[in-house]
Amino acid sequence: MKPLRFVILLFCLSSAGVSAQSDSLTSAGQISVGVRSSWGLVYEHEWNRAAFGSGAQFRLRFSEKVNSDWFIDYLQGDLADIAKRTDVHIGWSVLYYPLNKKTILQPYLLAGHCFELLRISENTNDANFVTRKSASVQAGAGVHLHLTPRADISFVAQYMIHFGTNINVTDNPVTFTKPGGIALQDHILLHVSFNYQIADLW
Amino acid sequence: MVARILNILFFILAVFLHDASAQNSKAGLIRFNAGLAQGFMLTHDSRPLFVDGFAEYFIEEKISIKGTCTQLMADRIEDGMLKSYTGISFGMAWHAGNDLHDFSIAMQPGVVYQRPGLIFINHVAEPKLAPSLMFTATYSLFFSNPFHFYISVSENNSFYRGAPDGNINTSWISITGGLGWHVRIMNKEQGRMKEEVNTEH
Repeated sequence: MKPLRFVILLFCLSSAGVSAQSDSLTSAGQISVGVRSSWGLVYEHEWNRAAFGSGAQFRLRFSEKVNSDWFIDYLQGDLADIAKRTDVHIGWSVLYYPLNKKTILQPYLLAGHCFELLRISENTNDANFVTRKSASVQAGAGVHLHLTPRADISFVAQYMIHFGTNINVTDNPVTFTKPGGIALQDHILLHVSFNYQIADLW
Repeated sequence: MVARILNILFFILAVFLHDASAQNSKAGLIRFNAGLAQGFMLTHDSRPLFVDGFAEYFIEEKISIKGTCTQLMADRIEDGMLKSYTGISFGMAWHAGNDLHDFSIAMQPGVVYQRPGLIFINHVAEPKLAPSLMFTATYSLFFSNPFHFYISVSENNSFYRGAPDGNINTSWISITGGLGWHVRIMNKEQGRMKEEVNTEH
């Protein structure tokens, strides 16, 4: 009889665990997925140009006031009329909600890390290109617009600074060189994203 | 003759509208639409024709996730702006209306694989991938199961980068419409119960 009692006890405990999960009263553990569009101003010495991109993200909430975004962005921009740049950003940000109440508009602060793969290529000769991998930090602010309890649109403005190899660009003829040393490149990015909560993990 | 046609129309509407009242909640519904879209380039004198289609799943009564494909077929203008163009986008739509009428606005980031039809001196433009952003406004008439009519206006923004003179704006607006097909893939009552639990939180 003992094994049977043990199985019944195990069954009761497991079902209790399941019901506790579905009756979660806090926002902690919520996971959301979304897509986003980005507009940015990128700085590469005097080549200060606008960029535009698409991306995706998922969001994992740690607690009532702390959330996290895990994102990938694909951006493109021009270097005057001579070249184009393609940036791929993969990174994460921690979101902090300073206000206690969850209202339709929920402002937040964010900061995090990001890795970038950059490719700059000549407009008329795609074989003439340079690439760079770099790391960055970013910080900014945003606001969620809660459409329903599970769906939201988020607007973010953030400043991102990259630490990577310096790239010199010259025109006529177009050349890309890496003279060495670390250079700072920065972006100002605006994002709009749609997110939908798909699960409550704990 | 006119009276007979009107009678037939009223009969069809009465049958279909009666059927539509059984629709109730859209949560759990998936729909597919495919059609021809007439496009107008925003910054060029070009009127491309696209084959486009979208799939949309109503995760809630007012929210759906939506994926769209667009393929260039031809251009009404000789030597049109686009030589080739294929786009995919994925996003979310917000809906208003009732069981019969549905108005939605969607925003969908995506990518396009495109090649301009412009002629350059000593340069041949290659097809290239670029990010895009599509806005869509759609009206749908859910007159029956499993069919609905729809009319949709879209704006898709993208740039071809890497041309000799810099970027080329390949953004367009388009209008499309026709017959769509929908089917319920999630139990309506189960969906409502889940929503109620979620709302209580």
